[in-house]
Amino acid sequence: MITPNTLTALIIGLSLVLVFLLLSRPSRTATREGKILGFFALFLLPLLATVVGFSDHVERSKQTTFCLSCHIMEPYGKSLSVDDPHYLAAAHFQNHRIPADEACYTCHTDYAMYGNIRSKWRGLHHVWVQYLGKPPAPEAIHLYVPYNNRECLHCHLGARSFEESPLHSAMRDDLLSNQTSCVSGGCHDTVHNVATLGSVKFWKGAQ
Amino acid sequence: MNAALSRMEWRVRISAALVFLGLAVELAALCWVHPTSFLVFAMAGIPLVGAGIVVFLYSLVSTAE
Repeated sequence: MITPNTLTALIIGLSLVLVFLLLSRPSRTATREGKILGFFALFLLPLLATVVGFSDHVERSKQTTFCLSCHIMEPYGKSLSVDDPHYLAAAHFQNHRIPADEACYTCHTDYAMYGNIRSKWRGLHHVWVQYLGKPPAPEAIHLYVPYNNRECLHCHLGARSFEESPLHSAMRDDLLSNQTSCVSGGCHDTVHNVATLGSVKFWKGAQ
Repeated sequence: MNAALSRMEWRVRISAALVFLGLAVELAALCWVHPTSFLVFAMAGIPLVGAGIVVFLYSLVSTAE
């Protein structure tokens, strides 16, 4: 099966061949066929290749491997393999409560209008800091804003395990209004905890 | 007429060179899975291809000069 990445590469490859024909002999555009070739090679196909390529890059940026390709994120990737069900990120990753190949994105995007754009903008900011700023130590990385329960409830709200929990039922309104945070209200507050990775066991199955 | 044609050819060549370079950058960025590759794609590939397309479109409307 042809992947989007291969399709983009094929479109770019075809464009390169056609552009080379014009680059080597621009006089080809003097004829009607040459003008049609010029329209395809220098307008339509490059435009298509750029749009498809951009879309491909945006999709790829959702991949766990993409996020973990930055050195600073290594401990966060490692925290997904912690052998302790109290580690929230590890429990979600290992039990496939989130797609394992889009683990970071699934929990760290905003499930709101323009959330995808906002998360990409934050990603660009991270790259900017990495190259032109002073990147913090992995354990010193914090969220820009407190984690919004909306991101948890996007999946859990309506799920039987959530709805039938007496604690969740008792706190439902507080959780929905973010008055009590899922991850810092004393319930699920062990998330990545990268500072303590030296003293925990790791599940080998995730590697 | 010949002068106009050669000017157009010259612009087509510049356009083709820009688009070729831009597409080559885009292809290279596509083969590299890293946040930097997205920046290379967006900040080098897209402007080069865009500039090539603009030069090509300009060559079309300026042939009557």
